[in-house]
Amino acid sequence: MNNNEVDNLPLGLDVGTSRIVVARNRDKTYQYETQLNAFITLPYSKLAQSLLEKESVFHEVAGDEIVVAGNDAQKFAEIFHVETRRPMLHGVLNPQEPHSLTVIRRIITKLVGEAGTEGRKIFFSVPAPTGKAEEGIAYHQASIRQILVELGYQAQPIEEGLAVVFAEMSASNYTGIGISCGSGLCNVCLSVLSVPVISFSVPKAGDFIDAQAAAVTGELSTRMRVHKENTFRLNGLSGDRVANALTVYYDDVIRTLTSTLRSTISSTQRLPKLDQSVPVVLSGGTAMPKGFLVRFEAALRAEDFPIRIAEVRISDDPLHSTARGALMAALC
Amino acid sequence: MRLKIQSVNKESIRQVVKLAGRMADQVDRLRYLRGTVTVGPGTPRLHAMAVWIVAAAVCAVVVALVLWSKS
Repeated sequence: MNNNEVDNLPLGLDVGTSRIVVARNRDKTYQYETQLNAFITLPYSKLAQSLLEKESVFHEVAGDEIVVAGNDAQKFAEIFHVETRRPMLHGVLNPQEPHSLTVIRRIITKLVGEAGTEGRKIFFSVPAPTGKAEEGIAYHQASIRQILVELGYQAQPIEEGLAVVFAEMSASNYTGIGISCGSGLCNVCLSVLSVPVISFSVPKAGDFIDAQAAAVTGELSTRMRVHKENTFRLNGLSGDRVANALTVYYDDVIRTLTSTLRSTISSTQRLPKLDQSVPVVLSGGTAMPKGFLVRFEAALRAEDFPIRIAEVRISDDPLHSTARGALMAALC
Repeated sequence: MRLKIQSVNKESIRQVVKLAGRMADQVDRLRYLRGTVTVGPGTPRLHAMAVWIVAAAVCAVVVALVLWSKS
């Protein structure tokens, strides 16, 4: 495959509250690149800037501040014992963060680069509505699309839950329930033969767990997240107060997600007739701790469910599932 | 009102599912389904029920007429 062909291949982009992931398809294999969707600011000085440049740290000077973004922001936050700042909140651009659009633009540009060929296809993930209000989704979607269009792409949004269905449910002809348990939201989509029938999101997810557990233990949210991602197992209460706090709020998220799923499907009038039982696939970083699947399935099967469930499983590659689904949509 | 899954081509949904199942490549299968399957408004439940009631009434009248003519 020559360079011109590579420059024209479609891309899938998962714009998540915690991470931004790009998926590429090269020689029939999927390749991923990820950046943390976070930043910290440092007071500007020539010395600091030259040090960052020397160390090839991903940064930008913005007025009298230096903005360190992406994966490097995490390292600096740990060194200075500060919280990283987030360009996104609850699945959309953070309205309280003046740097949000600038940082997102920088991270996306670093990941996808310029299109190479005008009109190159890219599908990017967007959240589904939570049911209460539109909550900035239209502005978020338009902003991400604008960034990609300026880079020369032909950009199309895809709901995150549907992207999970596309990535994971080929065996059931893209019929089933895809759930992406991310940081800001849990996105859900019931799809029938690739057609999205019900999409919604639940505003309790990884960030909720981190913030609540941090509040009751007096730790930083960032530390909670690192603990959660590295060593945490969801296997009941123990002597560890951090693990206990995480367990309590994980259970809260699972209960909310399953009860919202049950009530939303039960109350919908626009449900097609389903002859067969459907699979449920979970993805996203919040679904990764050991024990999550068992607790989720127990909560789901604890009461009658409006449609028959075949199996409940976790994606083989939960951190890349949404980006892969977006890429599959772009390849179609 | 329930939604109705339907094909934009002439084949039935059963045929669409059968054809999609034969496609080994995931992207080909997704492309085919996305280009073929759509959802539309199904028959309203009340409407469907009314049709059955009328049909049953007509049958009953016909049977009654047949029996009456033979008696």
